[in-house]
Amino acid sequence: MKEYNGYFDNGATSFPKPPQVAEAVALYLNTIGGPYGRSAHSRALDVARAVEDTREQIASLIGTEEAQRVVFAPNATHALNIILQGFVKDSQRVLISPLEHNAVMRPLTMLQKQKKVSIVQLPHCADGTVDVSRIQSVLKPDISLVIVNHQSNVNGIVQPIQEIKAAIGEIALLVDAAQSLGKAEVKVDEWGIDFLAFTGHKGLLGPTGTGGAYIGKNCSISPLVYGGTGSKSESFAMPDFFPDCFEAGTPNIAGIFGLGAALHHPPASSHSHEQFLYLVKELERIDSLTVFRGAYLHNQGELFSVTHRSMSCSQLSQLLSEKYEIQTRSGLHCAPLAHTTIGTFPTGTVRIAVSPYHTFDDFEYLIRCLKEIA
Amino acid sequence: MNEKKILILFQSIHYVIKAEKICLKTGIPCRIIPVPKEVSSECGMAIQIEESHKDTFETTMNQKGISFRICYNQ
Repeated sequence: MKEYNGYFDNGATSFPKPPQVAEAVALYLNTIGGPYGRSAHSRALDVARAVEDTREQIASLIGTEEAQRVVFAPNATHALNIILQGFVKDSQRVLISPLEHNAVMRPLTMLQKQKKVSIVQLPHCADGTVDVSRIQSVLKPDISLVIVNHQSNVNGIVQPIQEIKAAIGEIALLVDAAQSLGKAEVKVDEWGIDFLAFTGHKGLLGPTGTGGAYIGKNCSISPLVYGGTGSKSESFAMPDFFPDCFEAGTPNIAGIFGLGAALHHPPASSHSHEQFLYLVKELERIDSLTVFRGAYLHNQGELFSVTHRSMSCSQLSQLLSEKYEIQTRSGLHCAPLAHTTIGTFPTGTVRIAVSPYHTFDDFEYLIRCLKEIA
Repeated sequence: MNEKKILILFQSIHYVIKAEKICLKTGIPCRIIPVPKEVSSECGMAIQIEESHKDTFETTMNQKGISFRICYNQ
């Protein structure tokens, strides 16, 4: 029997990875070793070159020449905390997109409880796309930050970042690119993005435990974590220069080696976007399923959700896993706000998140299985 | 050849590696060495170049906006 790639949980973490990722992690752990920024021997130098090459790769991918403003963090959640807790200092109002993940909502809610922020949603369409034409109606002088989830981890829509920035003018813009980086275009300098958070293990196909933030030059923020950086060691104060000011403690060097390899070896997609859209449309033809995606396909990323007429999300996901070896994620996907926006709170959905390794045959297998379940 | 060498210090290892890359690109021979303890406790690595390349080095780094400190002649 033919084997299919039944892993459709790439919104949680990508699998498989390019083979060079594991090779690079093993190369560091088994052969190179050495610290980052703490010594000056040959192993430390090899590590520094690899880490800085990865930083440069990320900078190039997000469209900035200021690689020092890319700071590594364990994941996008940590990066968002660096930005949110570092930027918000007193009573401020922030605007958020209606599809925010709890990686944004939980730190914001904590800041709201401390009376540091009040939260206002951006005007939006039914699918959660920000309605740029109505942004002016919510702009007030005390708004300090606009936060936009670039690609929804629930219905896959990609927000119009350039248009949003044009509408908000000089107000700082934070883009959560956890789902989008590696899949959708990002240009921080050209688009005027002030802050960006990313993870290494989703669209970039790197290891878990990698990610980071881009912190633009127009915004001053305080560090979240204090400690040794290998620089300015005579002082008890944190360095005031990038990237050291946000990189206390030894980073995930093995992970960064893997992320660097992933960035150097991105696989060509084994399917076309049209074939992905065919998958969506075929599932929409199944009477027992409801597909949750963007209203228009021009801003649809390769991720969407479904619900079943009579089965719960967990039942459907379990059946797909146990009978068909298809892995999906059911529930709220850490995004209750997004589910409230699209009308699937509190029951949630079953998420189908595609990888560049999926072939058209894999899509047809998924379609056949869901038709059989129907 | 025993040309005089100069030591260049940077705030962060990020800039040491960046400067090394720029030197390679622009044809300035360089070597990364440990920073002598008596010189500085900055990032632990420094770049050593021949003094004859000092002006080109300074111009290039200034063009790239990289801060550095020329420490001493060896």
